[in-house]
Amino acid sequence: MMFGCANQKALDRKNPEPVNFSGSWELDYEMSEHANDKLRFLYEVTRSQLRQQQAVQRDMVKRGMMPSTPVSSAVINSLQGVIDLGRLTEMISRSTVLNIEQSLDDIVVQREGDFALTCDFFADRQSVSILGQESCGWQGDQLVFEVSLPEGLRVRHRLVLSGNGKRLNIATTVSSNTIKQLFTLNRVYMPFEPGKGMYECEYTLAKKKTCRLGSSE
Amino acid sequence: MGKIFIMASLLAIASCATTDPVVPLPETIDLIRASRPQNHVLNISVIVFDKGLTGNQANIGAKVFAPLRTAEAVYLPFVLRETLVDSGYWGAVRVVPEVDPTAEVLVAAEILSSNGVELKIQVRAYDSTGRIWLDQEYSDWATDHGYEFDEENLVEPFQDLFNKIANDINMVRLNLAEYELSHILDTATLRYAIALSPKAFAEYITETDNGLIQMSGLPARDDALYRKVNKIRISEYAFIDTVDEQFENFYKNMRLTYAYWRRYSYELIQYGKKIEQSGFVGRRSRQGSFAVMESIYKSYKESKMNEDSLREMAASFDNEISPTVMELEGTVIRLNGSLQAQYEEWRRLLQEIYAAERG
Repeated sequence: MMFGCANQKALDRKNPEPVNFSGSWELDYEMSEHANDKLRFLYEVTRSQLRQQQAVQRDMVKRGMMPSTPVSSAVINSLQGVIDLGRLTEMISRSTVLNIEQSLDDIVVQREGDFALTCDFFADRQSVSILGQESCGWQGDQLVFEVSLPEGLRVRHRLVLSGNGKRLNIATTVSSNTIKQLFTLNRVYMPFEPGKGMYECEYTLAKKKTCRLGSSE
Repeated sequence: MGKIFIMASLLAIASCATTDPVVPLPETIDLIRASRPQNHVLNISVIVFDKGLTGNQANIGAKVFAPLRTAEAVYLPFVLRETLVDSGYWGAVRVVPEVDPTAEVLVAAEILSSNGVELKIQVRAYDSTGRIWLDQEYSDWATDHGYEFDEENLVEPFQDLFNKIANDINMVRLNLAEYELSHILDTATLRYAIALSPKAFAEYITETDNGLIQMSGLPARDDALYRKVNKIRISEYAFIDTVDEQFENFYKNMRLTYAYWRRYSYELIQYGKKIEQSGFVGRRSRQGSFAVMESIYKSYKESKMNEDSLREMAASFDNEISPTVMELEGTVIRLNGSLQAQYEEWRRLLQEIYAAERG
């Protein structure tokens, strides 16, 4: 599995000079990948590869090198698998606004409409959650969050900051033990200043979550 | 609504398993209630639980639960408090932010594990004389039935565990003779007096090699200083009763979210176990299909979002601790900061007043 091998480098909890992702970020639609487009592209690539394989197979059958066989269900499942992974990846990376708080000890990536990604830089590299294994850490200047869920479902978020600090890319990769391919979606975020016209939300025990329009200050 | 749907879909997948693993039902333990009013009514204080996350991270995954543990450390002692109150064996039952060595009976506990299916805590109870009432580990695991709740009538899935702790503490209390109960009450007052004025009262008690406190006498009933100590002690209780309301508010606010989180954890752990034990693969939904992957991920997401809510609650409990306004010797005092800081400040003020009046 590529997800588990080719890209698997050790994650370091400690980074002597960590990149600072702090701030408010909103989705840059222009620079972000769109799941449908990518899905269509990958679907075409996969179908093309399968056609090539089928052509080779037909050729071998013609030359009597192997018996004729119908297109296997594995081939059809492979195409369906790409679509399934793509749909799930799109669902996982829907957040359009991020709020990141980072310190020397930890980072909390709050994602609108989704749960927060958190990493304690001083904890064990890998932790076992109620569902599976969660890990996070640095690969150079990139911050990686990974979770392995039941039935071999794996989700990885890789955070990369551009050199000028003006763009944040989150590459979300989803893979499954039962599907050969993996699917990666790059979503690019740009900084924004929360202010007038933006909702500012606060959680209090008495009022639960309350939001109000922020001032320009 | 969404939460219920996801759980239902998980159950639907789980129900495809051929055989359910046989899990022994946990023992049902009823709370033993006092049938008549007690003589020598003792007050009991339950300290905010130790989160159990220190050490060399021997407990893998502990950090994942850190925000939950912070919330549980405040929530669970209140469940014990409610159970002790319900038993009817006690005078005032209070949750206190830190160790109060002058309490009549004190309960301290450390959360060893809590994941929605199993709750394991180490409980230590002791009285003012230093006698250990109990020091043991309690664990309980919830069954599916324990999580059938409606939002209006929440039931604590680990109530058995708290009933057991309360019964054990109550049993020690019932086995004490009248003079022993009286001794506990007097020693507590004396220890409080010594905390305020060691010179005046230290002569009345001695500590044995094994840490037990022995009383060699008592000040006269009309001893002015001793009466003053009792008055100040009542002021301290007034403060604790005031902050106790904040624990109660937190408990009420957290109950529903915590119930959901524990139910999700329960469902997810049971789901994982079924896969592990039977190698089960869903039959209705093809393995690796979108429906299966979506169901697994959504459950994970819901669980994590509940974790976020609990983290927010724990943080806001610390941030939102209301200033406590108390009346002390005709003056209105406003205490700020964490409950622990407020408690320390209140005690300092009481000691100052005592010292000033003593001259």
